[in-house]
Amino acid sequence: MNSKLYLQSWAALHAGGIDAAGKPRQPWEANQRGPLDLRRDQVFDQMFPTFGKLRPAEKLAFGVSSLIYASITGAGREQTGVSLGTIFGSLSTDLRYVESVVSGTPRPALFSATLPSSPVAEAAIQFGLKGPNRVTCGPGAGYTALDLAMRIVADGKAPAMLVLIINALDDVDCTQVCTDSGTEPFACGLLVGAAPLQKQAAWRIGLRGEFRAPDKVSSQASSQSYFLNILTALQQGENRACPIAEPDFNGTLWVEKDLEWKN
Amino acid sequence: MQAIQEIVIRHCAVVTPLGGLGESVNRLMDGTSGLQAGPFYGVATACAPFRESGFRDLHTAAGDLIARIPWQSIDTADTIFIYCAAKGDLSRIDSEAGTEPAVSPPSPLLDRQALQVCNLLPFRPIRTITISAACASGAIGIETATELLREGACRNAVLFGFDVLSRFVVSGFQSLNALSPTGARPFDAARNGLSLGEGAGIALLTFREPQPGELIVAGAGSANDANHRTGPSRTGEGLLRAAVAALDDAGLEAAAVGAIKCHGTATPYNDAMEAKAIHTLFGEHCPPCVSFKGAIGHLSGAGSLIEILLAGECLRERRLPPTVGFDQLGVDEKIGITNRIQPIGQPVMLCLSAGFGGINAAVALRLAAP
Repeated sequence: MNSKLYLQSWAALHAGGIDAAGKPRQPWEANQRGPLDLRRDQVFDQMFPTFGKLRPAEKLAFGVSSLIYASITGAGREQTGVSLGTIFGSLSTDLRYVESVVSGTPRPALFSATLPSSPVAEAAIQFGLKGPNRVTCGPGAGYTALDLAMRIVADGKAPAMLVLIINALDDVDCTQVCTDSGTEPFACGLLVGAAPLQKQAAWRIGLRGEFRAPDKVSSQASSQSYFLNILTALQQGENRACPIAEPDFNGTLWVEKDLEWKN
Repeated sequence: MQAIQEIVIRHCAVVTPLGGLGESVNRLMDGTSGLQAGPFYGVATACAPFRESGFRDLHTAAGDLIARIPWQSIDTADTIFIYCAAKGDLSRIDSEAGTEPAVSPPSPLLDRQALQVCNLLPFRPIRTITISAACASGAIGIETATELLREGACRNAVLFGFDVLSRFVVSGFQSLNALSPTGARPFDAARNGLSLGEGAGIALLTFREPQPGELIVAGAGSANDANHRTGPSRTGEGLLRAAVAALDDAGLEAAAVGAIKCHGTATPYNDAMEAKAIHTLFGEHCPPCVSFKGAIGHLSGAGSLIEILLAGECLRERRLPPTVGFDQLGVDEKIGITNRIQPIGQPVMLCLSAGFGGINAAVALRLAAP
């Protein structure tokens, strides 16, 4: 895969705060531990009565999608698809649902969020994204989601794809089911398209290298650090190539300003 | 003249509540149902379990199905592996909800289940992808494979789908009031909900010049309703767009379709929206339509892969089985749901899938000319 597509917008929620294209980093407030404590008013300026009922992965997906679409108007959303890379799937909600089963009252609101694909629904419904969908799981889901989205755009199946990379698991749930520890909730959204959006700086994004089939379980939190590195570069207005050597991908994730693009 | 390469379903195998691939198709043609009266996990509902419960174990099912593919005759270089499941094997989580745990339950994380299956393959794939797009997982897996195969990212794609019954899933659908107490009756006037089932399937797709009579994945497409997290769009708009995308991808007109394998869950809303989508696309010239879910139950994310493989075998036979449970049309649009075996005219089958989150997918199968 060696496509160069335009990065139309981006956003991230991570331990260091809230990042969005063209805006300074917004640190978490004193009473917020990180992305899972996100408030609606930090990302979305309209009413959203059910925000408090969103499950962690859905909240993170909604958060980065809101930040991206806050600055984007115009047509094309109906053709825009969503490619989700979910590191831990719906595991956190699965565990809460099981607790409701054990208590004797299975909760339908929880069950309906026990699919790794649940965050796609929140982004699609809120922002009218009716294009193709991809949902991939695992440590390398971030690269895979970006790769599959770029192929869809390059094939002309959609003019743009919203790539969501979500890790909604906290350490408590993580150690209950996995042996991993030290993972932090994280969300990243990248809107990639065949063309840059008008009146915005033209950045290109690419993923170059080889995917591989890992022969053993790898750390579940590997891909998020690379995306955070790239997004930090974007915030600083710098080109950056980020070499990746992971069990499931060996190559480079990069962003660069398109100097030939005339605004 | 240069040979035209297409995506061929070179080998496949399934295990459904009706048996293996050939046996399942024969029983579908006979109108046999694998549904059994409940209760299941304390819920008064009919379900379609495997006939041999050992297949509920991921390792057992994967080992059995992988052994049915003649790998020794295949050049497996440049082969990718795609695992397709909504929830896969939940026995480890299910044990926390009071169900007897398996001896060594796999991780509930789907990528780790994928790795477990991948390690049973007699070769090392060049890439592994774990897809979980709700009940459209298998169809989205096929769509993903077609993109990678056509672009030359691989020469073969192995797809494996697996979803089984569990306390987790049965209690969940019961909490949504989606289960039929008596058994799924797709598109019927008396339909009252879905019936869950379990299944596993494997398919080897190769990009090459098709041999006469081979099954071809001619096109695939997907679209989102952007409407509701669990309910389908009332208009069927998303499924319609997915179907149109699949036919466009295949370079086919609607008039070329000889039969439709519906999603057909037997819930009031799904079947109503699906009928709207089909009627909008085909109008008065609707080809015969079938749903397998009255016979094998709803096999969740793996189901869309398994049903596509079953539909392919029906297309090979040029016969569409009856829709078990269907008696009297219970949707507004006049679509031709089968209540007996019907011949398939044009050698193209459109396979429809839909899932929670508004995810719709369609795959167009075509039979290579003899």
